[in-house]
Amino acid sequence: MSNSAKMPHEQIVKIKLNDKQMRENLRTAMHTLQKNRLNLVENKFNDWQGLRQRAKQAKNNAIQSLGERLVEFEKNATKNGIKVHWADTDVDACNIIYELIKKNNVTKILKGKSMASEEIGLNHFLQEKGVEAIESDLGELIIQLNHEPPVHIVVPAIHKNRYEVAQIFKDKLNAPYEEEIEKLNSIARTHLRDQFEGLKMGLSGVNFAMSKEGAFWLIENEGNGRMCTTAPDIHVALCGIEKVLETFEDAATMVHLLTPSATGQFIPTYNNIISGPRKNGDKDGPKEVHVVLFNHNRTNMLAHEDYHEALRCIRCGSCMNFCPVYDKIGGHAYQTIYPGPIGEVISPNLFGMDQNSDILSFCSLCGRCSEVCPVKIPLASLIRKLRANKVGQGENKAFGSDKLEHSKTEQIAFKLFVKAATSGGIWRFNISSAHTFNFVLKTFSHQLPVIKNWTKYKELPDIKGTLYDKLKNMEGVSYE
Amino acid sequence: MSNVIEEISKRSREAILNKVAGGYKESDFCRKETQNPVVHIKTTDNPLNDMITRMTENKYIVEQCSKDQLEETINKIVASYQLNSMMYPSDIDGVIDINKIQASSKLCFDKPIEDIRHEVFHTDFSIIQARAGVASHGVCLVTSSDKQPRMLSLAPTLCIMLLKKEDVVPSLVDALHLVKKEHPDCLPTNILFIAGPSRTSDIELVTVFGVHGSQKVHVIIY
Repeated sequence: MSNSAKMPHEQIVKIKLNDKQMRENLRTAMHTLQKNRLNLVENKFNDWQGLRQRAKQAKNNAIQSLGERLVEFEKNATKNGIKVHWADTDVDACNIIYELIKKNNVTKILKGKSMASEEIGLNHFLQEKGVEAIESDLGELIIQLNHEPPVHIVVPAIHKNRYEVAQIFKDKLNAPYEEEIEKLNSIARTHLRDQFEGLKMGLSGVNFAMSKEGAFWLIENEGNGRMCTTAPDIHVALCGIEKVLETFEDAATMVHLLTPSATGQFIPTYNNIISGPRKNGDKDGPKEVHVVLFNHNRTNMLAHEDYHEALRCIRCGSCMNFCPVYDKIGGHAYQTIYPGPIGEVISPNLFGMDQNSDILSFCSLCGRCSEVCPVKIPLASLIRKLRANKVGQGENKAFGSDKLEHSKTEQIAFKLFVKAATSGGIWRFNISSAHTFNFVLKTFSHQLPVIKNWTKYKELPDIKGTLYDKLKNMEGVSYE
Repeated sequence: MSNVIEEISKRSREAILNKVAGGYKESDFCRKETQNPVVHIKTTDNPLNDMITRMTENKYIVEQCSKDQLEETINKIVASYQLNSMMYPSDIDGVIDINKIQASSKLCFDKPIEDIRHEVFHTDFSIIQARAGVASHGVCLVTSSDKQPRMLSLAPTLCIMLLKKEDVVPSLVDALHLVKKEHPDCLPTNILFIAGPSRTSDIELVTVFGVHGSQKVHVIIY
């Protein structure tokens, strides 16, 4: 999403905070996902922390030898009959896919769920060229019909309840208004069934590629992914370069962690490993399989001493499930494809700090994300480092930082805060007279520069008496 | 291949590999080969029981019988759903007598899908052979071949999988090594681990079964 299409940061946060239905839907859903994960980790696993460590190591093995992995994957996949293409930018990737569409005289493609395709803006790109790209995952279909981006990377329509979905299907598919979830599923199933039967080209993402095997692994529950990769004549798989691992053991390690972290599901219904087009007398499957290995600024992250760690991400969404900010404002408030803590790290890195660094303030640095991340990405620490880059600090700043403008008032405000917070005398004076300052601020806030921007969206707390007096009277506090 | 694709791909390959070569190298990094992660899954010393428990949790309907009772067991399942049309892989004849299966139409998937596309998408149930069962996760390993096409385990409403009880392997990795051993030159085009019927929880996290794949999956261990 370009800056011009975005709403001002404070405005969208205010809108989302006041969307009671969305907040209730998200609150319930995120708590369920948290509980499911916890129960599964306790009941099914030995030494979950040890497994996280293994997964981190396996991902690091691949990332530290990425050049070798990519070339090996290309060699072995080609041997298996897969056509491998390379795309340095998002536009390169879109163009390759469009050329394949054009060459085969296709006017419509069906897509399995792929965040990578969202990242490169494929649907929009194809639409402009007159090609229809239809989402086949239920959640993605709901939001596509409603012209919305995903709210979550794993459960993209989780902010909608059954009644809202019923209305969308009624309005957009001319379906009868049905409130039962089974019936809504059945409407989507029927809608897509005929499309699968006559499908010429299907598009999917890639969860893990195995360089040693020249094959790739897709996971899903609905069967739409298998349909998109089995029913058409041509299958195109879009694969970020960081998805390439080496062995079956590496990929299996990620599968052991991915859905347990994402939704508390022990194993997805379909683990679909594809090693080529129809061959050796096969009676079905696509006649051509293409893999587009794309970069889109991942190599900027790879070169960075800190941010390369985020390339381990397996897109489970666990960090957003546990984020105390995400469930209050929802994924749309981030106004970028990847929301939540991982989004705060990779969106500015992939799209540029000048495009997305506003979302770095959607974080209380509580650190829950870092603790639940199955591949141990130190998310909170990376967010803190990106915040430093945002204000012009740090040696090796993230991509796009040089285009940021820095607010002089903010710099002065923080200098004053540092001075106050590092001087005992000033700090004690401020705390003991906070109630007086607070009264002045509350009375005149709408007229004071800088502060008026803050109080436009936030209320100051009521402070009566000095904070030290309150502390003294608290149970368990010994005051000297 | 079109010139445009070749041009983009050639230029991008060079650019990506150059940039990847400039990637940050962690000074204390030490490569350790990944071992089978199944040690992190709680298991007992009875793999068959583990597999059956987990298959049931994954919403497989598990049945057990002897080899000579297979047809009878299949007929009971099919009758319970009142289904009519069937399709099957061309090598299932060695396992069951297809003549004994009660179905109004029987389609052997032994020709390219282009010749039978409509039938494939509108058949009620299928019978397939699972290559192995995985104890750690309660899934069936299903591989594609010229004899057993991929759509058999996907398109019909009901899928009946046959699994020999001696074909239980401890882990996903063991199953994949079994496939590699049996196909040393070229992997099957499609290797699948299937964990029961297709499902979605995309609306309010409520799970419903039977989306684009099977609505019911029975596994008969014999």
